[in-house]
Amino acid sequence: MNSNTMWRRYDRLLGTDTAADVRDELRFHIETKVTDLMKQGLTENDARREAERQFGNVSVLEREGRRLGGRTERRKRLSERWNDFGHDVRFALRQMRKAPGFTITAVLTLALGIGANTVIYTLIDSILLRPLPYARQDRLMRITATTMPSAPKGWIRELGANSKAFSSIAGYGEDVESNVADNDSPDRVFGASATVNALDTLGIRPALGDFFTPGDAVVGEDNDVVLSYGYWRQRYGGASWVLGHTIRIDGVSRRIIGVMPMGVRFPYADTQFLIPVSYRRDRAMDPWTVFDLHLFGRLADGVVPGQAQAELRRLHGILLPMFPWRMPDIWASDMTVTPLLEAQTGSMRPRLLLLFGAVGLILLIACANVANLMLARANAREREIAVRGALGASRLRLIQQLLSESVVLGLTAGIVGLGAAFASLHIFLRLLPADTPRIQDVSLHGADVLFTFGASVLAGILFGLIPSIRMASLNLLGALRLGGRGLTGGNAGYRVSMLLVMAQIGLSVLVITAAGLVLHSLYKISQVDPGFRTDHTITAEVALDNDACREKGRCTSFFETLLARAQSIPGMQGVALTDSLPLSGRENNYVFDAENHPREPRTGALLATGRTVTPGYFDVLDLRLLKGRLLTEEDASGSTHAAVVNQRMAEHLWPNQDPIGKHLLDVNDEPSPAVWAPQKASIVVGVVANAREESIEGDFGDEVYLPMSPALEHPVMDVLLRSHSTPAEAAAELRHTVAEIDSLAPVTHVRALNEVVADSVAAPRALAVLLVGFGSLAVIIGAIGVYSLISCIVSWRTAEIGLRLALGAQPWQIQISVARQSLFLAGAGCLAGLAGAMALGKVLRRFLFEVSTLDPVTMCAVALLMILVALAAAWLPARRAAAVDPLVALRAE
Amino acid sequence: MDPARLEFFRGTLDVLVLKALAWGPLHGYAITGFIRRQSDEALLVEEGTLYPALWRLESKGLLDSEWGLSENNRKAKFYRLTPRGRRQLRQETTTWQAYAAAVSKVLAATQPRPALGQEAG
Repeated sequence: MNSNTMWRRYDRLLGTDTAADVRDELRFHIETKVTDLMKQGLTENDARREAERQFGNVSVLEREGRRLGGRTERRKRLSERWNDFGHDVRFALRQMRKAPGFTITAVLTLALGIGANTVIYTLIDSILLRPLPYARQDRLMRITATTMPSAPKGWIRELGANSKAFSSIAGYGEDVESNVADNDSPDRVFGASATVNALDTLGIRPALGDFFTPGDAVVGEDNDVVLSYGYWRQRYGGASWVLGHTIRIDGVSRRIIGVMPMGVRFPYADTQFLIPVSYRRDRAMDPWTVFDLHLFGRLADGVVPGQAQAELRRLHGILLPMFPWRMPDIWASDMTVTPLLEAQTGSMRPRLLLLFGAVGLILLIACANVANLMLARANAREREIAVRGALGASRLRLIQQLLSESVVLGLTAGIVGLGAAFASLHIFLRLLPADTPRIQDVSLHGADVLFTFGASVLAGILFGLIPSIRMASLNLLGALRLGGRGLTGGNAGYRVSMLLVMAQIGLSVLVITAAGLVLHSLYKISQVDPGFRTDHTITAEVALDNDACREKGRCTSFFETLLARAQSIPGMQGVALTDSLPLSGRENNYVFDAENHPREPRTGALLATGRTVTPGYFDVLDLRLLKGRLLTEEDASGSTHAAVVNQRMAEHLWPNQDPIGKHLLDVNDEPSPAVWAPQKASIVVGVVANAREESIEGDFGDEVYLPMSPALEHPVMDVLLRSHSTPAEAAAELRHTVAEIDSLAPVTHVRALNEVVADSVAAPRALAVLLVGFGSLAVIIGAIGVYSLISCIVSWRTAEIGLRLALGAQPWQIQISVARQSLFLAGAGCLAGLAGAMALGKVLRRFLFEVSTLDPVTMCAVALLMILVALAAAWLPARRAAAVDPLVALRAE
Repeated sequence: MDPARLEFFRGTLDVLVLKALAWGPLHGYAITGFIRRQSDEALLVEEGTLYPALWRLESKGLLDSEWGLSENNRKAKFYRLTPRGRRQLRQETTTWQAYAAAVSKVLAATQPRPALGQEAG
């Protein structure tokens, strides 16, 4: 074939013209045929007529040709683009192999940024976004009210029966640790009660057996239990014979009727069994007296949460009179409907979003860093690009090529980052507080992998855009002729790099300032005096069966025996018992009427935190007596009705009066607003100093200390031991002592009191740790950015430095000029970053404790840190600059 | 028999075109000549069917085309087999030969073979 590329060229230059192609092709055929026919002896006219006759209708044929030709064109263009793409990717991989130093630096920097993003996105996805494992879970709503911390079962039943907006309303109780026995020593296992419709409301099916039936709602027929999937696997190895098997929970025999499905943790993360909420048919008061349930419900079809909430508030007025006594109008008046998922995880949202913001900035910093690396490398590649341009690659094609390089780089970093995130996820999970909602369900899902690759591609485009545009718009002739300086040596390239480094520093400052503020506020928290002694004290929980106190005095006598024997443990300085440990987050409400505070019929009773304690409590915690006397052994009989209050409560209730001798009436168990009955009331005998027993960060609360007595006893008490011996020894002694009295009573939650205090601020500490980690990462990447730019500048300026040295400049002058450049970059970036931090301050306010968003300590520390970083980054390049040999430098030029 | 009356079975033209290009690029006119000569003038390809077939094959990616100069120095469009086209040719050839052999066996029959079931009955 005499194929000639000239036609191809022609074809390319003008673009394809399908119609002309078809016409030309057919014309060639006819002409050739005419020639052949003429050779056979026909005249030209005859030959032409014959050829055209054979051809038939040319215009139909041409139309067909145009249609099919167009299709061919489209296919070709598509495959060309694929070829280009494949070529670009292969080329990019080759380029990466050719410059391993650049590749490793860029990939590692980006991988850090992408990996951090993957981890935080995985947390956000698993905790905030992933649907709960319930059928149409978005229709499930929590019903809460600030005036209704919990509600009686009758209230739930009536709401459910009267609501049209909810297809069903159910309730569940507190997570209670119980003694679960199965012919062996008891386990301490968390369980909760739930209304019989609760699991059906969730829309889940049992993994085994059945859930509760309406029959379970009757006392006497309610001795059933449903196990969690995890507990079933752990204790029974997932065997199906457990159905119908009987276990003893807190001394009550219960038949296992079913197992919840895998992945369902209801109502609490560590709940292992559910028992039904049941009614006593014979007592009209029964549905109303115990306020122990939390509400949730499933919206009826087509109802939005707002409508449901409006309906509940309307029902409130209609249903409140169903209580067998007059309830305060305010109770439950602000019932609010929140999606279940949000109710469970809402508290994590701001913290996770803050962390997401921080890692997003880190990725931006990494991008700026890599963009600068690419710009610096452009120097070396200038000639290659110029040659490719000269060979006819269009500007767009060059940009596409260079962008493919950066996207391939980004994806490589994405794979490395994904691996790093996968490997380090469990470390991050350990850094989070143990009570983080849904933390058990956190794992890397497909969506997170997709996010990672999306972020990688975006990052690739982001950091590749500036260098590609700059490289593609290179001056061809200049670059080819000069073979060097043409691109980045010029002032303009320099300036872009400097801006990028300043942006990097600015963003690092933003992250490190946020970290600094949170760290400072954590320091402030740690400096808060809790108001009680925490050293040399260990705590442990000692538990009898939950119904042990039904036999009056049994609990009291057990714990009094324990107290007496524990005091004789060698090295013991003080022992006390309490039903709720300070800062444990498990405070009991003390609902009361107070002397001189007559209650309005429409309002609720007064509230304080009530602690049942033994007399040693004040001594072990070193709570200072301000007035009156402390509790004594005598008060334990219950005959003295003594109570001690804290200073805040005394001043709050009886300002400018003597609190000693005043009466407090516990109305928690009263079915109706109490009649003031001083003979049943407690008498204030002493006032102690305020202590932060409820929360380190909050204000002081009102506290009432009541003596443990047969009239006020609990099956579970926390032991406080102050001892000279080590915590392990003290714990062993305590276990031994408890086992002597009752071998079946478990001793659990053994911790130093210091740990209890530390655990109470686990959330701010975790946030500070993560933010400081990310902040350091940001500063390190920023510092690398400054260092590489200064190094580049020094090597570009070698000739100039050589000249200056030759003209008599001192090496220290050179060093100072390099350091000044670095300080300038850091200073400008730092100012921008601090300004940004101030502007974004209000985002941080909710995370801070006694620290202003404009906290001068943090701001100064950050500025100082940045100056140090700038000097450190300039150190090596400055030394190198000062060591330039003028002769060598000038000769190189 | 009048060669022009030999109708192409559906799909036969495609495989003949592919075969014509097996030795190298040709333009449309040369393809008609090739088929005519190889079939001893028995098969005449009409232009009205040849070109649509060529374009269709090209649009499917079985052929590739390029402008070049013909023997008589005219600008002509040359077609060439793509790797996919070559694969297709091998496949179709096998299929066609099996088909043709089967058809001739049937047509060459002198008496019906009894079916197995009837033999038993």
